[in-house]
Amino acid sequence: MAKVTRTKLARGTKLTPDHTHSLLTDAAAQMNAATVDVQQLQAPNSSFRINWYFPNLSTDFPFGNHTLGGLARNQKFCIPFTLPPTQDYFDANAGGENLVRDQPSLVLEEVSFSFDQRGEGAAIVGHHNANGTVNVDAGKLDFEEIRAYDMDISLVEKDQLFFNSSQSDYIPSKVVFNAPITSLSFAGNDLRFNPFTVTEINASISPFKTYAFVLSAPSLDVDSTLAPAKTRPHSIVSAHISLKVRSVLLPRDVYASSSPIQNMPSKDTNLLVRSPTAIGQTVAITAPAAGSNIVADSTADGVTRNIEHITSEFRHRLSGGVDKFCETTARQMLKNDAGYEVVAIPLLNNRAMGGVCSAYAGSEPWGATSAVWDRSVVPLNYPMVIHSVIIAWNWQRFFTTATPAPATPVALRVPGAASGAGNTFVAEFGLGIGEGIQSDNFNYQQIASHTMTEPWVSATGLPAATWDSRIIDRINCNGPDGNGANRASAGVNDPQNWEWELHQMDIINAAAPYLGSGYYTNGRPFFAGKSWAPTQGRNNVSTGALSAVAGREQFLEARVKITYGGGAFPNNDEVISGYQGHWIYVIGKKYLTR
Amino acid sequence: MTGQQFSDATTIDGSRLDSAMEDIERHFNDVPQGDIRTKWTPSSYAMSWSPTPAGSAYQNHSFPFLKCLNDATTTVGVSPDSFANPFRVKGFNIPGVLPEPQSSSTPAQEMNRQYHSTVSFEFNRPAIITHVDVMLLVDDRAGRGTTSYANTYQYGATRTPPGFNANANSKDFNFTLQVDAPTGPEDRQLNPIEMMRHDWTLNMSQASNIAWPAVFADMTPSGFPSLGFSGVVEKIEGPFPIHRNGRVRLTMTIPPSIDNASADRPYDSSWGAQPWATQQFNVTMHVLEELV
Repeated sequence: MAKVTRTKLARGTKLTPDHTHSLLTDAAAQMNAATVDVQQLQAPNSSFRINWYFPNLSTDFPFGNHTLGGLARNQKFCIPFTLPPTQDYFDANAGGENLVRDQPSLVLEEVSFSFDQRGEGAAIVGHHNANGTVNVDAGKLDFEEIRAYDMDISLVEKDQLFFNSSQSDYIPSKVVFNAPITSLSFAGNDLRFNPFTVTEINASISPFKTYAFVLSAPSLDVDSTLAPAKTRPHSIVSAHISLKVRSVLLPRDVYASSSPIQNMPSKDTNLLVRSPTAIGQTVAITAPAAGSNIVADSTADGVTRNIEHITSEFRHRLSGGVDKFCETTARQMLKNDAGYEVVAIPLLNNRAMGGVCSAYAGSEPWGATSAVWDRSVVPLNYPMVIHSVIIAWNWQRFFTTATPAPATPVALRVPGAASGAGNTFVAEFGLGIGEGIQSDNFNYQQIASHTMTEPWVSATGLPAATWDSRIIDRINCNGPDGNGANRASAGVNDPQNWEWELHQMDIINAAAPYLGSGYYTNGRPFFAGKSWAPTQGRNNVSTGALSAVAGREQFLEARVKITYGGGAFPNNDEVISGYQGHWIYVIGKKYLTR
Repeated sequence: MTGQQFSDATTIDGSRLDSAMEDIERHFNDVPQGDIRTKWTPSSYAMSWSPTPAGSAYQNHSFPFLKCLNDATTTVGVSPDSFANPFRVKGFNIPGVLPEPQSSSTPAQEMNRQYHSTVSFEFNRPAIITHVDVMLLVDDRAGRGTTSYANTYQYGATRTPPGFNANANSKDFNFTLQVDAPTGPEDRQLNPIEMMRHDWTLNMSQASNIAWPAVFADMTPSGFPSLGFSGVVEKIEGPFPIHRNGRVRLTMTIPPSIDNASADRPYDSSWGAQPWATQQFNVTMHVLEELV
């Protein structure tokens, strides 16, 4: 519905209800139907954030100028992501994408980068010495070598492998944003720019491209070539990166038996919009009868009385959305009341060696089980509808650290390249909702999962089809060779050591009507939100039954399990999990709230 | 929506009527953000990690936890004449640990043996932090599965802080949300405290008072080694309004490293000598931001 218009009242014109009541009637009609559109809002965009937290980024990553074990110097640390359209706008296949005219645009507004300096204008000493031993001064303040924090942050873009499987390389083609940061920003006594925030970037983000945040910190490590020489390794502790992106408000998901939203609350006819018409509380404009006088306020059709009907609604303010207990707003007038949302969940970060190296996998938490496990629990405080789940798989190489120095000083090669048994390397990811926090019920319900097997085939140096079954993209920010797990091989036709991969994790699906949209087979969107008793009643999930937590979900849980042949991991230098782990991006729609 | 008001028996002219309708048309077609009751959308900040378990041969750092006192003993090279923030976080004292460096006869009681982990955020526009959820997850206390994290959040059997019985539940973990003062952003003494969880019994906030059952509906990948989880789940609900350009610092403070076998120790504790490694940390912050 378009904006409302009025008939202008020119001087000398006879006053009719068209000049007064028509506008009010049109406005009331939009309010009653809950069709006040985004074009009519001064602030038509919601914002979302991609938040990454790293307990530490240290010189066990080859940021600097030492080459123990043959890793290249001055490597950049990166984290990729993609922001695919929600399923109602997703129209793409391997042949290409189809951007519809009303595709919500995404605009990068702000980049923020922060870390812990212990409240001083100093650097924090790192734990990794250049020879692989542990620095005994790790965590201490260093006022002499604050130049460790001369850094550069950027956001880069590349086309996706999914749309072009014959890409010649995986190197980004465009820099979207770049900011060199001098360590002087972090050295002041009275003001330090930590968090370091850049606003009003206003860079357009494509829904079918891959982006990566890139961090370069070449002075973090010891470096005898500098003048004066830099003598200590340093660490970026509690690093937090936040990208704020805005997107125009979206229509919220509507349940239908032919296009169900899994686990959607069934209250209010499956959270149907409670427009004034739907609930029988319309804003009524009374126009004068034909031939009668137009009066100010003495009768129900008076001009001021009817203006007051509209004004009163604005005094109570317009509403939309779903609250934290999954209750739809009581009286909705806004048409679009949902926003794009991303929840970034870390897995396998802050490991003893930075990442997981095969030779030391047994020392990982629960490593005695011959599997590397991790989980992250994210309490649900506001509901969202999950449309896509993306895995960012990390191959970034790293130095190992211990005292005495580890026998395998570098996590270097892709699984299989040393062991010859890459076909037994299996990575399983899962995302679920769960109950059990301060309660007496304990259950999980799967939302999405994905299993990948055999990341390296000796004949090609490339992953097997069982690894790439849901591949979206590969990215290499340290081209041309890359700092990813080394996959060089005799007869290789693609020797790049890409650093990250993006894979789709399928939302649970069985058959129609639970088949949704995505890069590959995907399930219909999945609702997740804590409820109170009235909103506990839910629609079925794709198994044809209620969720196993039956509307009582309290948290999202992301899990990963990595096995290598079912027994102990090989005693070699293979990268089981890249530096600072993997990310699961939970992408969907959130609601307006208050 | 309009400044015009029409009353019977008063003068009226077309210009005023037209002006009123124009006001309404403009307002309705350009609804100010303040006229939307539900003008906020939530964002999640998910921060979690599973540290290398205590006692591992490969324990090699305490990151992201750093010593809480800034002084020459926690500095390499030349120290400044004075430290800007010797204590950079407010309200982190715990029973049994003294606030200032002590004489050599009681070195283990110094507060500077505690550790902070601080993560900071900046909000360019006004925002509301609605929830801070801190979860210290340990393995299923029913003792099934494989155990990597086993903190019981208790003091020891033979040596406890003053006022606590043997094996008493501990009060030795804090977290706070503080905002930099606009007039002195690097002077932490000026920081307003938005939220503080302090002097509380951790085991009163157990993940659950009953153990996970032997059978429950699991998710894939199934069979997590510890089966279920236990520990501490402390969910703080705001709202905590943050002003424009607010710089927010969320700090967790863990107790000192305590070697329960050492003679030089303030007390015994289930946190042990590597308090950063006896549980899995899950921290989530939910923030409401306005439509833009």
